[in-house]
Amino acid sequence: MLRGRRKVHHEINAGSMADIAFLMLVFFLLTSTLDRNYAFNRMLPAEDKNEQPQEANKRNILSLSLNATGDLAINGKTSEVSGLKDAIKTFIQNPANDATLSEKVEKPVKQLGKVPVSVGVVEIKTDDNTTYAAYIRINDQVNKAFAEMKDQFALKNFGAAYGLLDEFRRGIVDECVPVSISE
Amino acid sequence: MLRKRKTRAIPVISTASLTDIIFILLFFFMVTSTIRLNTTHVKVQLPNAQSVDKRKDDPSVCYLYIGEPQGKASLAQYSVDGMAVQLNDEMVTINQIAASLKSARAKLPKYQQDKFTVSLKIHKDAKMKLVKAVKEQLKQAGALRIDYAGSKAASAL
Repeated sequence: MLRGRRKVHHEINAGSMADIAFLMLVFFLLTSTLDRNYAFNRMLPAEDKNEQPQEANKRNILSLSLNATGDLAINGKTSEVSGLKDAIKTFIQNPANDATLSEKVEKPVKQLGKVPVSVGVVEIKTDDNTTYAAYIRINDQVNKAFAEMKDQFALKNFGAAYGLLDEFRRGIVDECVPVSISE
Repeated sequence: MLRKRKTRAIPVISTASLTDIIFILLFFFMVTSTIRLNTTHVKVQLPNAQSVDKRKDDPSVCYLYIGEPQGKASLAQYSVDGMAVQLNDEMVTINQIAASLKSARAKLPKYQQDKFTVSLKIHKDAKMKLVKAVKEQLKQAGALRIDYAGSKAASAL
């Protein structure tokens, strides 16, 4: 006996779909934040138990000091923050081999042979009452100076900006333009 | 002449597309937001900086906040000059930081311990005296890899 089956179109009821999506939306709104993490790296110096005061030649130190109101002095002379980046670049690169700016030491580097590497150190001193914002503003300029020098070096030797190089070449650039900051 | 009154049917608003709209909103929020890791008890307004780059949340990163304590009077004991320190989810006094960091690091698996990073989220008006004290604690704990958080807004310089 054949029973005539009637075809029934089953439609899924999508009415509750909106409610479900709504619940998920509310959940994500509550558990998430919109702010992204932006940061820059630093390494703190290791704590040394038998610390000896390091003898660094005075010409190899660029001393940046910030007073309580956030004013900047480079090697004791008051300066504008806008000129800091270039001051750091000339100090490290020392294009005219000035005797008052940082020394360069020839260093054997893979692929490039001997490269003159600056031994200059940027020193950042702050007052107890300096605000963190002023401190970060100075650090921002220091970062920019080193980033630009790395880019310059990378362009000259590898023909591409630092950010576009592979890991190995970046390592070489890091070795030739060391970021030395002391606090 | 009297006209026969028409019985008007109330038009039904179609809600069929509502689902799609809500879904699009949902996806938007899923893509643009990150999951909230810590409940902050301090208010942190980050300083502006341009030389910062984007960071991903990583289990080997520990967050240290310095900011104005919010609301509760019970937080007053942590406050130094109007600023308080929070490590991940807990409020800490400055002298507890080293010990807390060490235990946080010990909880990580071995391969992540070498990458252990402390991300400092510090209010822009915090004084360097406090920041220096905190960094001293970090050194003591051997947490040398740090990063300074900043907000990448268009700043004056």
